[in-house]
Amino acid sequence: MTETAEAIVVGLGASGGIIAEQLTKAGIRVLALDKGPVHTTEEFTFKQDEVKYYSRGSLVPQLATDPVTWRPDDKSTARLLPWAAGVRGNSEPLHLPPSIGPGGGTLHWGGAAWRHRDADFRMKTLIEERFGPDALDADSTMVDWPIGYDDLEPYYDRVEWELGVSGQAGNVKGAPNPEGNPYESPRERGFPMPPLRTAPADDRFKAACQRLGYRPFQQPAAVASTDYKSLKGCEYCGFCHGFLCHVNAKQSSRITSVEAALQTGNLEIRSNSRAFRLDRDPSGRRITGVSYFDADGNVHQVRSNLVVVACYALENSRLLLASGINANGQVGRNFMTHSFGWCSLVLPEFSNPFMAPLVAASVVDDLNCDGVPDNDEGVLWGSVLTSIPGDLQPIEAAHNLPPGMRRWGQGFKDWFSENYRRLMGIHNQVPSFPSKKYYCDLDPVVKDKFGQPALRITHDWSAHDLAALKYFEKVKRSIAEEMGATQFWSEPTPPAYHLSTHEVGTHRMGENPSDSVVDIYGESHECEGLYVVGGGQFPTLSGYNPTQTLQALAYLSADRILDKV
Amino acid sequence: MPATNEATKVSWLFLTETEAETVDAVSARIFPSGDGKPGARETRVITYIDKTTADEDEALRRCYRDGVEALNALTSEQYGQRFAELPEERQDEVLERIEASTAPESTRTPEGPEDEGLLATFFALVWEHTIQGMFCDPQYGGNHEALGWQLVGFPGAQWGYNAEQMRAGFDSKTIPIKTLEDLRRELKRADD
Ligand SMILES: Cc1cc2nc3c(=O)[nH]c(=O)nc-3n(C[C@H](O)[C@H](O)[C@H](O)COP(=O)(O)OP(=O)(O)OC[C@H]3O[C@@H](n4cnc5c(N)ncnc54)[C@H](O)[C@@H]3O)c2cc1C
Ligand code: SF4
Repeated sequence: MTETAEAIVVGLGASGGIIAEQLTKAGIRVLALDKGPVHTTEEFTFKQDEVKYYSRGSLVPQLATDPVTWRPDDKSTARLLPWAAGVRGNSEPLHLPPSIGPGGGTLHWGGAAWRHRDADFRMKTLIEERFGPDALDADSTMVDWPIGYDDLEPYYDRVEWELGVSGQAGNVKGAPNPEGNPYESPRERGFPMPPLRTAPADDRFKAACQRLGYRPFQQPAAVASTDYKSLKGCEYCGFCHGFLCHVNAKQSSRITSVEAALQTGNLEIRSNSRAFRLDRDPSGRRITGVSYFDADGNVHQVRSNLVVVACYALENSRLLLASGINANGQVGRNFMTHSFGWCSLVLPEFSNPFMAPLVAASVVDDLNCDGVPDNDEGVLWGSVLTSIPGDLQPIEAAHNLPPGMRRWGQGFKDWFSENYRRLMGIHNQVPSFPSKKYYCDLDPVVKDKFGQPALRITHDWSAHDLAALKYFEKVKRSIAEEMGATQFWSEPTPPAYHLSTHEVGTHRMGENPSDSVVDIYGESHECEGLYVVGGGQFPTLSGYNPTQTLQALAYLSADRILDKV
Repeated sequence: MPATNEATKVSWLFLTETEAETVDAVSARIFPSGDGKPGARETRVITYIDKTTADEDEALRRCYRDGVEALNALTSEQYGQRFAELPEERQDEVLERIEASTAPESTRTPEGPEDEGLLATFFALVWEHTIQGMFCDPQYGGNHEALGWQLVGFPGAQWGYNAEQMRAGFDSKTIPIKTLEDLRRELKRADD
């Protein structure tokens, strides 16, 4: 007899964890399938290991088992992600789909915890108002969000207070605080924890920005500055972004929502269980369950009339496509991602970049959203500008050297031993715009070891992306000069990568079933009882990191599901 | 300079003597030792590479095996000597040519000469592993006595840093370096 579950959650990452917690707390028995292994805190006590986590990318899916292909346009043949596929499998763990196993991307994320601004929900309207109706490409598929900031504010609040975010509010109910973000949309209350101690070079960055007339403030962080609920105060070990936290200071669904769900007694986790098909009734209009492979490749089927798919924007769209759930042809469309324009500086004094989490740093938000000044480059929408003074170990640092310098020999040795301790980064996050040209579909050739088709990404950096990278490089250069940097360089443009770990848009939410995939609660227009959640729902990508917004959406989805059952 | 440091006298897990000699010579050009400060030889990068190739998959092993053969074939043909026997300046010239004339495997055009792609991939791989061998935790066989970390002022496997250490300009070389083994011992002591 086929097994039956009251509800199935596929993927226990940032969004799946939240939904599993809310459902189990309401008494629903949830079966969670996750393709990764269950990690324990004990396993991470000695995670100060760059070879294991950075060089060998032991937490992320390997291209050999989880192939993803890419091509710049629909005339080219796609191949395994060329920026990440090295001779020994993966060579770049930070430009692949996120880590796997309960916790998902929040196992090894950086923890930059942003609310969108009000403007982010109205990107299209604001761009057209300011730059005219023809400002966007003819191929643009940009739309405004079907919800606004006010709709999400209570859910942002829940993310911050239920899961734990540290920071300084800039606008509580309209009352400005110059220590916080002067541009943030009003919030009901501040953060549950004060900001973190900043990494050594941050003061220099902040002071330079102030002299240049910017209004820097501290990055809100999903890292505990003090003990809070299940989180412990950060130890500033600096093996943070790309690593797991050995003291549970970093907010990860593994220790927040998933742990809380387990404590209800209503959650069963089946790890190493890879969903490959979403099953429907003969009409195709109702979900009936999920089929998955166990670790040995055996096929199992579980029936349920409530299925939540939370496998990250990329795998979500792959699963829908592989299951044939794409009646209106919108699944996989509107792929968006960030380019970082990563800049590096050498400072005159020791910056000791190996200390502190990535997010123990100041940011500048003056040039984000519609706040980007009129400019010659033609930049229509801005981005946050973030200092990265910490969280940099030697192996990673050696992969980012000034262009033109020979990467080996005595000169390299001298440079690296002199300057490693003086490095610092600045980056921003240029949001790509949705376009008919950029999408995901199933690769016609490449399959995984279970015979399932790989996801194929068709994406290139647009003229607008390149213009924005150029514009922001000038800004970063001027900040570096003001900081007294002795060297400054940028990552190559256009970037070699097309995955930034901030992929969104691939199962867009909307009110009109003909041009979107899910509704604002993440429920499929096509198939009742099927919720597809995460950044894939985003109509547009903002200049901020996406996770807190997709966490807020997950709380919204959970409320809706509980209203309906 | 022949590879005569301590590390190379042990028996290898995967590499042959010639392979070890060749790879050691290449990694010694990436992080040289002539300035009296630790380089690839002192940190025992070759031990790291031997262990890694033994542990990893066949594709990687083939790349080492075929890469060494192609490199020595190239230098034998041009100079009548194995790579490791060439003077350092010559070695640098050879490596520069490999780096300049070819692109690594993933970007190379299908028409390119097979060996050139192979050599570029091989050199890229030795570069990668030399960096790892210099700065890995010593449990992996490289970064012997944490000499690589000492060289750049990285304190290693620390549990955390305090506010005093996080002042701008703080000299990190005053923080005693810790390896994972040190950390393990410390935690065990605290438990006892
Ligand atoms: C290195 C790194 C740094 C980051 N830093 C930040 C940051 O600072 N700020 C920020 O906002 N965001 C950051 N992100 C992005 C963040 O991790 C993601 O936005 C977030 O985790 C996405 O949540 P999700 O629920 O959609 O998917 P995920 O959290 O990725 O969870 C997906 C889950 O689904 C499981 N799964 C996948 N496929 C299947 C399948 N077929 N069957 C069963 N289970 C499956 C996976 O194992 C995983 O547990 C970072 C990501 C990375 C990789
Ligand atoms: S820097 Fe802080 S949050 Fe990050 S891993 Fe270390 S202790 Fe955990």
